[in-house]
Amino acid sequence: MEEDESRVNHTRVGILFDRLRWEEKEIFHEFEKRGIVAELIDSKNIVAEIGRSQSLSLPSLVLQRCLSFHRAFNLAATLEAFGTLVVNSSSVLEICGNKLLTSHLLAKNGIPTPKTAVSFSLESALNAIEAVGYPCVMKPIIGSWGRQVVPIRDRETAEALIEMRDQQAGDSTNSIFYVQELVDRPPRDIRCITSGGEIIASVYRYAPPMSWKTNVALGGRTEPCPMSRELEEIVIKTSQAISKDGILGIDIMESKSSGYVVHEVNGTVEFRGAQQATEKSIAGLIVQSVLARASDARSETKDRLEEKDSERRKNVLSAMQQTSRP
Amino acid sequence: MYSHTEKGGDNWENMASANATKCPECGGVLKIQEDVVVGEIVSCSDCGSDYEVASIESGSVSLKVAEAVKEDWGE
Repeated sequence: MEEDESRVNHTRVGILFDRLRWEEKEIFHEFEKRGIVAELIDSKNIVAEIGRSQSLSLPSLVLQRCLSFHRAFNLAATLEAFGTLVVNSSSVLEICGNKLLTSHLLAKNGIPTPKTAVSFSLESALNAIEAVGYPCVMKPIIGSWGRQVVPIRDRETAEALIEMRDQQAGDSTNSIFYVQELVDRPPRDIRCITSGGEIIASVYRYAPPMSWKTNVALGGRTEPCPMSRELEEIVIKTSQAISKDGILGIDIMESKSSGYVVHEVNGTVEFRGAQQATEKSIAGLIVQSVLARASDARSETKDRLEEKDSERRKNVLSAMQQTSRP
Repeated sequence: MYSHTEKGGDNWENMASANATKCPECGGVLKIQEDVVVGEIVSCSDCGSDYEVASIESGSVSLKVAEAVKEDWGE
């Protein structure tokens, strides 16, 4: 690893952000410890002239840490078009940022996941809910931190929720109804962080008092989660299905009826909560694997990277076709 | 002790090399850490308003109103 790191010392490295949080500062310091002064790139200031990579002075490696999904995905695609290696790549962000695409990929790869249905109009929303059955949860396909995640326990609530969604203006994804079974589980879930295909942290996330949502952003607390062989297999399989090179936050529930189920994969993982329950520096492990990735990438041509991205896109489309068959 | 000037309505500058300024929303004390960096968010402990560090030059910290949380924000 030391050799890998020294080889990339001459590489310009950037951290792309829209809000500089504790995580980004930790990552910056970990680069600094390895003799690399990462460039902090405020995504809000970027102006890219299409087809003119010289319009931006970009590092050869950029760690994507934007909070906004649309900004992160489109900026990653832009920087990639200009020849920069972005971690996570736009294709990984696209899958992780869209719960529907994530579900298709999990299903295609035989990874246990909660029963899920989707419909694309107000008229068919109730059918999607009843296909999953009560109790279930309706989630926006794009979004995080448990926002607009609503439990539905009976038909009355379902009808009221559909009516409310009908009256919500502004977000075109409001007409996509993504419905998942409400998994009977302990009041916690598991967050595993993988980087470069290896598990670097595993924690339980407990819901705060008077809440059923385990998001640390909502006040959930963390505890170390011991890694069983079964859990490890599921996490590694998920990581490989989405990106063997990426940095992923894989969320798993312990279903009382069907064991471990993966319900979400995050492409811009927050780890402040997880760090409180683990001794090793998560930022340090992320930086270590990113630098190894950068070193490996030197031997790959730009064409090869594009080919791999195209392959991943095809896999998602293929997964969508397969899961749409009756 | 702390002076700041309005800049285009949304931005203002903490002209002194001070570690605090007034929150333009509520008038509370907005504490600025010494090791603050550009892009970091400074929150008012009184009203919760968020401000982003726009620049730091010669110890002078320029702040702007931070972007509000949007629907596509998250992990």
